[in-house]
Amino acid sequence: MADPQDTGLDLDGLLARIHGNHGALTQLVGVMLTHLPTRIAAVRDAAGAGDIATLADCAHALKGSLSNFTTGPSWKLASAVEQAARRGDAAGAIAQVSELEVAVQAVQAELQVWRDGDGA
Amino acid sequence: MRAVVVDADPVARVLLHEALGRAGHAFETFADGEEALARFAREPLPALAILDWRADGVDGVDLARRLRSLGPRAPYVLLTAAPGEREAARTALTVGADDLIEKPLRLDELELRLRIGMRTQAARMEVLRLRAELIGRSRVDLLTGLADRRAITERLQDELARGKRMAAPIGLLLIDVDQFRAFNDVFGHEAGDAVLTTIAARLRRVLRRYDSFGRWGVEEFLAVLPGCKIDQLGALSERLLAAIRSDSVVTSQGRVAVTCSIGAFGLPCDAPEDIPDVDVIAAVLERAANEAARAGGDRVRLLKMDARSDTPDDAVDATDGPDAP
Repeated sequence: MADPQDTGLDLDGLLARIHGNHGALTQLVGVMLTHLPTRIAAVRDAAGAGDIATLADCAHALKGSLSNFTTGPSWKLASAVEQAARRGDAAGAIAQVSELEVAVQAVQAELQVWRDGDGA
Repeated sequence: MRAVVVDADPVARVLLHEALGRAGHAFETFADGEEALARFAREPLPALAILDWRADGVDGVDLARRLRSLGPRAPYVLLTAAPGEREAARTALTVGADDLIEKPLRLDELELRLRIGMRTQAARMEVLRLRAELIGRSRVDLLTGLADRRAITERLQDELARGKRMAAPIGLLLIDVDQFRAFNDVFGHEAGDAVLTTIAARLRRVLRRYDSFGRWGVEEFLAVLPGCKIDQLGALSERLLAAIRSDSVVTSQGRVAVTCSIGAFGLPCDAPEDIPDVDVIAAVLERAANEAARAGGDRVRLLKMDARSDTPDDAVDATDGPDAP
């Protein structure tokens, strides 16, 4: 598995997809920072409850949000959790949730730095 | 144009907000598909619906299918889906979605697809408008397939003009379904429609090919009978009444017996200057049909123009009076 700290965040790519609109990028980063904790908490709760169907849906939703910013480790882990959950591999899915949380926290941290720094 | 976005992902909603705003469209966003469907049920349909394959509450296939079931005015459906969902999203295309765009969204591609969607939807609405216009111009009563009121009125005017020119008689029958409004109230419009279509078909079979026949009112039919002499109208009317009552009518509420009342009016056309206009003729026919209905229905009331008068009030009751055939 790739280094979870290597977020693969591609804000330049996102900026290109939104016609270089810096204001919109700032807004998107803000929305992502607001919603990421909720998304990852939902994944954690579903895994804790052993609710595989909900875990698959929550991992999917997290993957969808992440896909706008990165296809790095966080996105790959969310995808792996979703796929494992959908094929009924509860142990395999739940086992990757902690690693996913770490990867998502790294994305959050990098987005926060960007927003607090010159990038925003 | 008005658009609706259904996507559980707040980031995607911001991107769609940006694209729709740039294109100048008014729009609403929903995270939940069920909420969007509830809104569609209450308010006019939007022109465009941008749906995520996995919106909360209802999946993309079901949402697309339900939107398409809303009829020809259903919105143009642009589905968004992650690359891994492509196969499933294709299913949505087969059941009602119009286009598919992959996530993550790119504004340039999104704007292009929106433009295509809006153009397609505008073309669809134009087709619907033209269809409605064609139906209006076709002058066919959609329920019975007969000439509608405007068309049968025009044929009446044509026959009156021809009768005057040729000094040929014209027979006119206004056929009114007995107790139709009460029937509709009790058995419903669907059963009422079955009665009207059945009666129309039975009457058409008795009338001659060159007679004009159309729907005059909700439960009224007008027959224009060129060359039909006044003394033939009574017998023809009796044949029509017999055809109507010959069998019960099959409706969604079961078989029902139906009768009609006929107002008959003959124009000899031997004194063209005495021929009244369409409004006067219509009033005389309706008066005659009403009298037949008030007398118990399933009968004909025959009136004819008094040759010595040119006013409808002087029409002679030919059924009961001395001029009866």
